Amino acid sequence: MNRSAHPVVRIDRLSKIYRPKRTLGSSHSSHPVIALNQVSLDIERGEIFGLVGGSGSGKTTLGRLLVKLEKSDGGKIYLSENDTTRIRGQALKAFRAKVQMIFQDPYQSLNPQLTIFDTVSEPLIIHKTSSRSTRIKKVRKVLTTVGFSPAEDYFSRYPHELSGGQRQRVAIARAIVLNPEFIVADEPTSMLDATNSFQIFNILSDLRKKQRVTFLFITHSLAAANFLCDRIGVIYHGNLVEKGPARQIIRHPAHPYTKALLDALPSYCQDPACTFHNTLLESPRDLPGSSHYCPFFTLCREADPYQCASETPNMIHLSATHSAACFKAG
Amino acid sequence: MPVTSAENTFSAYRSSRFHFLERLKSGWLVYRENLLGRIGLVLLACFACMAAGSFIPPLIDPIYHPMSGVDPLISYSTGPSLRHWLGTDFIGRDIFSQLLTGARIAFIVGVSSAFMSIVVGTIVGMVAGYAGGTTDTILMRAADVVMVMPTLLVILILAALFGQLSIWIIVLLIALFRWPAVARVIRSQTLSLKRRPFVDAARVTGASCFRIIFRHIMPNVLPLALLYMTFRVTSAILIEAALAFLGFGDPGTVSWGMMLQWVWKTGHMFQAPYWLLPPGICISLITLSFYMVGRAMDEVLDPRLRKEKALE
Ligand SMILES: Nc1ncnc2c1ncn2[C@@H]1O[C@H](COP(=O)(O)OP(=O)(O)OP(=O)(O)O)[C@@H](O)[C@H]1O
Ligand SMILES: [Mg+2]
Repeated sequence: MNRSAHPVVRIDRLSKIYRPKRTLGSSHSSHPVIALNQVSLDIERGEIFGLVGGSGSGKTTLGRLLVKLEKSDGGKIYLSENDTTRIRGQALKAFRAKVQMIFQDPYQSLNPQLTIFDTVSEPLIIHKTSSRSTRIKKVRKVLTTVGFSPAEDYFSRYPHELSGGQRQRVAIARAIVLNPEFIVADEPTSMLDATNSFQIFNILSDLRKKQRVTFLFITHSLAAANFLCDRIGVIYHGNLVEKGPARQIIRHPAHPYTKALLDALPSYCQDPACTFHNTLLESPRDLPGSSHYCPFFTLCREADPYQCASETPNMIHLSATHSAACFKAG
Repeated sequence: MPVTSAENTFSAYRSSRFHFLERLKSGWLVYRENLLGRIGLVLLACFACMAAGSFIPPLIDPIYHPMSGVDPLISYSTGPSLRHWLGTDFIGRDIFSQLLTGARIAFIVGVSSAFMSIVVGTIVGMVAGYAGGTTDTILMRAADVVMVMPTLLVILILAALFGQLSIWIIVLLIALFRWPAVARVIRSQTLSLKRRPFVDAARVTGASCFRIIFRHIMPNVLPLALLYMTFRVTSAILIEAALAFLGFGDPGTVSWGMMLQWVWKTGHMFQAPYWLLPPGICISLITLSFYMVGRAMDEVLDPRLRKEKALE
């Protein structure tokens, strides 16, 4: 693959801080939450990039920033090398036709009052791309793509008449009906059982193969990311700690947090040759007094009490494609 | 079975109506469990029959016209008789036909002013809730200002300033003063709806604010708006009756409040119970029945109750 040639999406030191709203009467102010801290990433055309991290690590936040559901507090987002960080008006509308999102909860992401046909055809109406008869054709085509056959039977159904897996496939159909370049899929299978998840995985990887759609696939499971993704980024408390080809990350994890995630996989260590990395502390350490320290310091067994507590690690290149933010890596 | 695409186009097109009917049906299943709701509906049906029947008496004989039909043989108030089932008023007009016409006026006043206040309240509530920020603050402060104004008093002052108000002006004024409570309820509903992921999904596809409000939020707040409409009807009928009784009604219409005013003004308050009681009872009953229907609908809209019933 011709790397770094033309990334579809490039994000450069993107940050997001949630500041607590000041309400009258509450004198104690809670801390602002740094949901994303200077995250930089390239996503190549036609790849599925996996974003992996624990709960609350900022995965959804990154996805919502990428599709412009939220404003960033610093950094830049480029789509096909065009700066899209501050676009509005017509430019934003054109952007919306190219970038789509699949949400986590299929029970919440479809309007209960609209039929499947109305839901899937809405993007076409908004972007005025076609007449009613071509809309019907397009909707039929995308519904078939996501595995509804015959698609017509589902046109006049309502979300409450579908199963969770079917709803999520409708959500995918809506996301692809405009032929977008880039889709953010935020844990699309976390509410589904294994069979349905597998079906969704297949649909996503088919879309990538046949239509060259690029995906940011958000998940909390390294196993799912390994199955589906070409490259993986691991995020911890808003910091990107490791990124690289999926195989590389699974076989040779460099960051202690990635190792901890691998340890947590139930099926990972059946191979007797592989050992637990055992990088997590049983009880978290106190925060160091200094203002710069490794974000994983409090939980890291391998941390150096001097260096890790006084410096913030930068991304270190371990190979041309693999890098990790840890002093001990490489 | 292969289905032709023309048929499918048709079914996709017709679907929203079917869904509406289906929801109506499941709502009805919950509604009919409610005794008060059934009583309310029966009473409303009676009043509706009265309103519809109000056209009949003048057709039988012009002397039964509620406004201009004066019985040539009678020029004072008489009690019930075969010729005048509820008696006549002070110039010999038939009270029964006035009562029927009063039902029609009550429906017109109640439903049209409730409808207008619901339309205004729903739109203001949705816009304020969805837009948030300054728009929200301005609209809600305006709602507060209108809400604390005593409706009856303000309309009385206006009537005193501008002379007799026509019935449609009164309807309009009642609507203008009654939207804030609706706006508040719809706003809070909108606030919770706009956090739902399907609104985010619509934003991601590029939907405008207009589209999100009217296509995605409105269908979800409409049942609540409808519920509030029944309560608005009650208050509109009461306000119109009070205005008419106080002598600020439209002299060209025969409403129940107007009838009460005539009883009082001509000094028949304690002499002619056959004249005083029917409009009084009708006002109480119609407001009561709208209220009961509203309470029963409230139950239908409560999702918890709805689910329990669906499981049975
Ligand atoms: N609207 C918000 N207001 C305030 N804080 C928020 C908001 N959204 C997210 N956060 C905070 O930002 C952090 C990251 O949240 P985010 O939803 O991105 O995590 P996540 O990685 O998607 O987690 P999960 O796996 O549970 O979905 C969390 O600490 C969360 O509390
Ligand atoms: Mg999330």
